[in-house]
Amino acid sequence: MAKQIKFTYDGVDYTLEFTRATIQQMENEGFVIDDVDRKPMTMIPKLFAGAFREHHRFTKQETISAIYDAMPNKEKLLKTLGEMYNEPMLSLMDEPEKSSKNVNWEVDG
Amino acid sequence: MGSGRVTSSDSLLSADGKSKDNSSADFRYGKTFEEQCSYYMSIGMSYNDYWHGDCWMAKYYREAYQKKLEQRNNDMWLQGLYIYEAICNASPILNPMSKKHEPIPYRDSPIPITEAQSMRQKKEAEKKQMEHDKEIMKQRMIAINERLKGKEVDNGRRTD
Repeated sequence: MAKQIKFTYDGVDYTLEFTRATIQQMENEGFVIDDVDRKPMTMIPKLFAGAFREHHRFTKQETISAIYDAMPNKEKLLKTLGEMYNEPMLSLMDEPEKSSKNVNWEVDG
Repeated sequence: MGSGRVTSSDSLLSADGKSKDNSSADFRYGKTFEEQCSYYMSIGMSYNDYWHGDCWMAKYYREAYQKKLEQRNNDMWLQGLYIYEAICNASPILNPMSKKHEPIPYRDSPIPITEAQSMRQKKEAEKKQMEHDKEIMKQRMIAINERLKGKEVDNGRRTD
C-alpha cells in the first residue's frame, strides 16, 4: 500500500498521495526533486501541492498554502513527502534475492 | 521474468558507475515511468492502475507474472512427460525387432499433481484391486463348492 497523508481541514477530509501520473505532470511543469535541497522555500510548497493532484485536483492554491502553513512538524512532513514521492519509482525496482552476499545495513543516528 | 525489464539501480548510473548527473533536469522519473508502462501493460496491469493506482500494485503484478511463468514452465514440463511416456508406450509398434508388437495403453487417468488428486487415485486403485480380489475369491468359492458337491454325489453313490 502506498504511503498517504490523511487529515481534515475546514471540515473536508484530505488524502495526499503521489501516483506516477501526478509525478509526471509535476516534472512536465518543471518540478525537479533535487531542487528541494537547493531551493527548499519554493520547492517544498510545490511538492506539497503536487500531493493534492491525485485526489483533490481542484483545490485552490490559496487553500493548499493555508493548509501548508497550518501543518505542524514540517520536518517530518518533508521527510514523508519525499518518501511518498520516491515510492512510485521504488516500486518498479526489484529487491535482490536473499543471499549471503547481501549487504546488511542500518540507519546511524 | 526478465528482471531486466525492472528498473534497476544500474539504470540510474552512468557507464563509469558514477551517479548520472541528476542535478540536470534531464533525469526524470516520468521518463522511466513511460518506458516501463508498456511492460507492465504486457503483464496484465491496466493503464489506469499503472498511472493512477496504488504504486505498489506494480510490485505485485511483477510477482504474479513470475508465478505465472513458473506455472507455465511446470505445465510444459508435465506435457513433455506425457509425450515422453506416450512415445515410450507406443515404442513396441515402432520397433521392428520387438517381439511384442502391442503398444502399452495410454494412462487411463492424468498424473496426479495435487495431494487430493493423488489420494483419490490411490483410493480408486485400492477399490479396484479389492473388487478384483473379491471376484477371484468368489470364483474360487464357486469352484470349491462345485468340487464339494461332486464329492457328495460320489459319496452318496458309494453308500447306495
